[in-house]
Amino acid sequence: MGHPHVGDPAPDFEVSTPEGETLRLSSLRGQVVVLAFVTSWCPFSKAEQPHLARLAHDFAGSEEVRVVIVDIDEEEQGYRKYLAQTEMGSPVYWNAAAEAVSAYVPPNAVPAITRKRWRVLVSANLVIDREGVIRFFTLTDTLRFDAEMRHVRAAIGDLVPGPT
Amino acid sequence: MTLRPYLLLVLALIGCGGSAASAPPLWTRPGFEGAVRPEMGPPQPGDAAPEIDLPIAGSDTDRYRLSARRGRWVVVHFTTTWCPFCDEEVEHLDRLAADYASRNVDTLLIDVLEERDRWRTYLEGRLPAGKLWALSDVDGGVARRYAPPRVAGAFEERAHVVLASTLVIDPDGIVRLFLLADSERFDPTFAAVRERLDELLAERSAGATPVDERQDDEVRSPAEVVTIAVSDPGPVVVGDRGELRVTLSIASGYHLMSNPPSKPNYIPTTLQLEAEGIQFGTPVFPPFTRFQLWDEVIDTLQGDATVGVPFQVSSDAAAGTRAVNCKVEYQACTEGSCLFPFTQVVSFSIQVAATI
Repeated sequence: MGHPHVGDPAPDFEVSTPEGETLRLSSLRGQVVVLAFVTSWCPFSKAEQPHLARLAHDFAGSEEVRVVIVDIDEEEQGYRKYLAQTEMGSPVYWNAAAEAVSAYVPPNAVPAITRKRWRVLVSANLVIDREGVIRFFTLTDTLRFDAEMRHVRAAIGDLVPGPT
Repeated sequence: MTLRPYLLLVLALIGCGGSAASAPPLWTRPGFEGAVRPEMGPPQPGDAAPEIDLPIAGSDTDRYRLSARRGRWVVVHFTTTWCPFCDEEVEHLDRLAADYASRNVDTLLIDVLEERDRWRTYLEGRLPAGKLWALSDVDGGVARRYAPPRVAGAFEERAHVVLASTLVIDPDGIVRLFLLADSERFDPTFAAVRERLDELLAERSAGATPVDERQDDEVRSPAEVVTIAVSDPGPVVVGDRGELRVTLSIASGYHLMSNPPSKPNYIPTTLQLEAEGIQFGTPVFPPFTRFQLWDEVIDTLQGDATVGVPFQVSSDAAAGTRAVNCKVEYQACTEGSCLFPFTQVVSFSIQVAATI
């Protein structure tokens, strides 16, 4: 896929909600971070949404694991639609053209998508360890779609002892 | 990063080698990994194609009706304006339509669950060759009828299942090819569709009997692809240590996963033994067979694999016959698909002799 990939440091970024709540990824050093890129128009994001919400709820009280959800590639109307679909249990940040997280697009992934490369990130999921290194990174896989995010939970389990 | 192309919850259907008219599974052919599989349900190659009766984008009155086009080959692709994969494909499909129009082929691009105006606007300037039939499936009814029921179960809106998918329907209205979207090997140029279409057109014009694309229903049960035998350790004495040898005879063409497994979602082969008065240790597996699966290599068990299970007879065990239950859990797979995970229980006895 090219970099960044598993084993690489996760590029730092800052995102915010329209209400002004901001988050800088590097401030979460010391925690395991689940990073999910979502959007309201993608059926894969939609199918994953209740499972992502459950994941966020499961770790809501955790000091070890933090779930970061970033809505990308849509206008505010789409962002609001995503929020309205399911109670997520975690703030959903909004980055319309994914410019803040564009460093996450692996250059060789889905080379046939030539325009708006950030779309490659829609429905991507990552798990980042306490030192800020990417330990798990998947893009949308239409034929082997894991809506229930079992692999994400397994990746968390590799980094954090205890039931996931 | 790739995930293994296994449908873990689906029975494997194997193309039977016995009949001259059947072909190896299409999804094992490079470029055709997205081909629908029989267990997904209809429509499948060999089935009658569901009717398509939809308004044409460029006209207020005209409609395209599939049943009225008997005698022509029809390529069908489902799309939507917000899907990035679909967006890359439009110009390539326009060219495909032009290339094949003189060969008795209609090419349809069906917009799903969107208003007609949005579709018309989107298409402006994008179909220069002018041979593509752009149709509107506003309520998604046609897309839903083409969506196989037992795939992409996570999609509530079944019309979404067929986005960026392609079918080829023959002049008799029979489905001959159905490829689902494959994001991992995404090819916007329709190279595989062209390849298969060329084959089908050549077959028909040569008067060849078409190969039956229905995948044969030969279902192998997980129980029959693995036979388990346990070596008789002979009489053992109270306090003795020994090793049982459990041999898994795995049918040719199948493999079981290693323990530990090569991927977290694989079902490792495990053995659990119990018997009164006997403690069993951790099974010792033979060296695993490296197996090339698509673009990666995984560890497997194949052929005859003998697992050693250390045991110790308790020092206070009573003499006599001990019934031993050996539970072997495994998942048997071919290169293309997997059978259900399965547990076989083998029962046998060990003779415990009294201390001398």
